[in-house]
Amino acid sequence: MDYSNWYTVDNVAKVFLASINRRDTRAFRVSCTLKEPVDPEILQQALDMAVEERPQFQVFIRRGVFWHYMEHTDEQPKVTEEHRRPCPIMYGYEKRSKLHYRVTYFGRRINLDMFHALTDGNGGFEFLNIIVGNYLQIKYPGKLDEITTHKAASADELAEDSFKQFYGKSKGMAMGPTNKVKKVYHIHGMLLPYDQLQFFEVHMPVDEILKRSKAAEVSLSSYIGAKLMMAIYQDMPALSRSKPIAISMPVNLRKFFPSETARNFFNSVTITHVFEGGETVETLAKMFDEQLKSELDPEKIAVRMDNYEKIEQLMFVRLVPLFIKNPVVASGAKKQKNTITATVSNLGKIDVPQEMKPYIEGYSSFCSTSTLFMTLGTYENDLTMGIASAYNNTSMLRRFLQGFSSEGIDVTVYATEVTR
Amino acid sequence: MRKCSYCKVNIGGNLKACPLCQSKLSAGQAGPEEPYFPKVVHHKGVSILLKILVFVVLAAVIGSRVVDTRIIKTEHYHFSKPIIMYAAVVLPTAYTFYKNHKSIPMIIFRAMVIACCTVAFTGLMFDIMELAVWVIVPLIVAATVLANFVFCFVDVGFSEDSLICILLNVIIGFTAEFYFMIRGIEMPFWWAVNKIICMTTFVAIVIFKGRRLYIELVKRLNI
Repeated sequence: MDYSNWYTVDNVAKVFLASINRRDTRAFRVSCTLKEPVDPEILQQALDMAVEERPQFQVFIRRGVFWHYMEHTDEQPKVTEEHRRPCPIMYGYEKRSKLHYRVTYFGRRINLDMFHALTDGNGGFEFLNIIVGNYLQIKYPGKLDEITTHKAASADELAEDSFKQFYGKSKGMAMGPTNKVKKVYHIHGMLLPYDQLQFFEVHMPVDEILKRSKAAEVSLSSYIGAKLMMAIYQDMPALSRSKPIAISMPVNLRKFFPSETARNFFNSVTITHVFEGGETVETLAKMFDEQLKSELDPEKIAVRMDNYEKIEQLMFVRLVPLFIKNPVVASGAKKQKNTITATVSNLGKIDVPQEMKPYIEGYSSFCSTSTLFMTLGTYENDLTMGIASAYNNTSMLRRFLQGFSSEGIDVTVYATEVTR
Repeated sequence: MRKCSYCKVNIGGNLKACPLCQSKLSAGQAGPEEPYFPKVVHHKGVSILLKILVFVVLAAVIGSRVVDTRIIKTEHYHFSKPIIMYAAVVLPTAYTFYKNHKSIPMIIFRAMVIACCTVAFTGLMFDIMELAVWVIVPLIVAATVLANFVFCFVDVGFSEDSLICILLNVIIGFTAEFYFMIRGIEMPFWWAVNKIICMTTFVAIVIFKGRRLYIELVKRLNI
């Protein structure tokens, strides 16, 4: 083990490390379903090869006096059959000397559960595709030798803390008036007992949804975000209807900055709306799309990113010991969470080399939450929604999915069983 | 694939009820499929041993307090006070062991701090302060240093923690010496022995594990 090989954690990871709990484990899962059952021995070999390609994830996260840090380890990941909930806890006292990601299989599915402090969905999907690519290469020797499943980036580029690298790009830019929302609506009802989350994997044909979103002249994210907002509104008790609904959407900052990092590099924008009563999905989708486009203005993105990083750069903040910083960051994260109703993360189109497609049926993803988190991803003509819900009440989700099925769209739902 | 006739969506996997409306799903023509997600046993509570310990300790505290203050009416030594004090030590110690069982050096270091405080308090309660602070405490500190010295040469996951613990032990040794110096007290024999052990192990660490100690300090003190 090279003890001198260590990294500081990025500013998003600091929030995840401070606000982890048994329900919201701050982990995410990306999965790939193959067209045939997974062979665990081949998967182990594929993972061993992938580890050499992405050594950035071979770390233990440790507590320093002032900050957490990531320490390189020789610990090798072991492939096991899935027997836990998606997004299990992967950091804490009990996981001290364990890697912060896990590769499991179940039937035809390969799962990669990762602690969000290591990387974001983009990095997670890339690592999963490396594993799947290696798996298929070993399984079908000679057929897929020429495929490339990841970007050509140096080790330094992959390990780069891009928040620091691109800090200061907003100098001289003004954020403009921010529409800060104080009290937003939270989905009503009890939370699931025993810190559970219920996971729903929903499949729909992409072309059907795209047809509708194009007719409404909005993007797919805006259309689905508006549909979700509408379902939340319809499920709201009458007395709460004056409260705004806020949908948070993580933004991949690699689209705005030339970064190849395998670590976290995202930010979130929030779309809010107070219903007046006469909205239709189409008008709501237009409003959603306009707000989203305005929030995705590169200048605003740069300012927002710098605002977070600026706090970390203050010497006063840096000199405060971690045991004081952690509860402060956790309370800030909790306050931030109170300003959103649900989160929708669009991972976009999942691209794999053409040669791999005959062996892959689909992809899915989930992210832990203490409220409701929906991930979106498209592969071929399959739109997959990975919904994690902390609520016992499923009426809002029922309304949301019925909104699609009542329009004649073929909706298929898979779900985990929970104790209610 | 079965269909929920209420929600009008297809339900995959082997679920018995619709996950959206919880109504029972009919077997359908094709019947239930293979499970899509494994059945998960989720609720892992606190260890039963820890619960028994907490119960026994708290029962002893309540019992001794009642006997001490309500049943024995004559003038007597209030034995419930040390019992409460030991309970206040035992419970956090047990919790630390339960939660932090991976890093042995850290457990030993914390146990040492708790043991030293307990010994000092016992000395105060039973009027044996000199024995407690002049003899037992330095011996506990020295034993911890030696244990961590061994651990830092064993190349396991917690070796680096033992380096830091030795450093903290050395700081404790120096603090004691500083205390004796400013109070103008001659250093007690066992504290002198402790100082020798702390200093020699520290020198050995610097010579044999100096680079690792330096890297550990840089990592942990990074601002």
